[in-house]
Amino acid sequence: MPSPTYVALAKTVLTSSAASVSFTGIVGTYTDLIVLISARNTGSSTNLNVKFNDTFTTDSSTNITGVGSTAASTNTQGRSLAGGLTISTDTTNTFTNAELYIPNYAGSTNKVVSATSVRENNSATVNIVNAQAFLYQTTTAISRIDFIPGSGNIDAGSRFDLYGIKNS
Amino acid sequence: MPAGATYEPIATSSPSGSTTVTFNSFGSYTDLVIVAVAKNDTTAGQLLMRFNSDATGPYNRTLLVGDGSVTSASSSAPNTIGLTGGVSMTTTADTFIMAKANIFSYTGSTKKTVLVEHSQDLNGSGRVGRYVYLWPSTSAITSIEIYTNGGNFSSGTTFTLYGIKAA
Repeated sequence: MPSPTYVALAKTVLTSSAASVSFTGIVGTYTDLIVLISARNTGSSTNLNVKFNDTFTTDSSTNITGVGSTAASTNTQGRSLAGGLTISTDTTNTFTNAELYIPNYAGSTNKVVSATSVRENNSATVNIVNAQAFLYQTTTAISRIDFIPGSGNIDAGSRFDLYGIKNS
Repeated sequence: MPAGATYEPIATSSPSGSTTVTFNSFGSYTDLVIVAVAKNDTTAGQLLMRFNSDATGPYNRTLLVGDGSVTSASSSAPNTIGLTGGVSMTTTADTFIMAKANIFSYTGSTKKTVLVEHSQDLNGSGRVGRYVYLWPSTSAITSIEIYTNGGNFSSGTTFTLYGIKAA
């Protein structure tokens, strides 16, 4: 029987709030990684920071953001679902949905990450769609990913799923 | 009885030093996905794609793109699919761009839609785009050519083709 291609590696479903969510010990036997996120902050920071291999670096990200009827593009330091994290004052029971696609995560070249996130609040001013490119300048395999809000905690009901994709 | 496999790798190419990769003989799937991690060697070029050797198209396009300071949206009708939205890939050492293309209902008898997710960041500059292309052919897609119009693909460049089966 052929090996599966799209494999669920780990999940975290929060039953109480937590300061961060981590995937550790990620094996290097897949080709790409996908992280699917449904998250909300107990606090007021709309940033969900993404940390690789337990290191925050100053690599940049290129972003395009749509808020209501306005679109903007920025190049910023660090990696974050900037402005895309649902916060405590947003509509009750709504969560940010995001996908991170990390190709060639175990390769010996710098890592590029594609991130897409949406924050929907039944509001004309607090609905956000983000498309982002993250750069992680390391030639080391990614073996750990941490998600940390800018402040506050990740709320109960949030869920993070890690998948591995094999190209053969 | 366990369900059959849904998301399957069909082929992978690592075309270091060349300008073109061609995929054919896809088997029987509903949709196709191409994941590209690519760069040029010394001369910058775009990452491009066409179907069934159609170099005329048009491959009607709507794009939304940001370059870190300017956002733009536009529609046009180029003669190829730009996986990098009309700009060149990088030649920076050890740094690659990523593009993921979803090709829906590629065997169907209707016009073909492609959704492209493009990400490149060079630490201080970059480009992020979401592009939709329409290939106005009602023929099944039987070959996919991915190519660059400048230089050669660099070592480390990979293109992987996946097939997705509906229930």
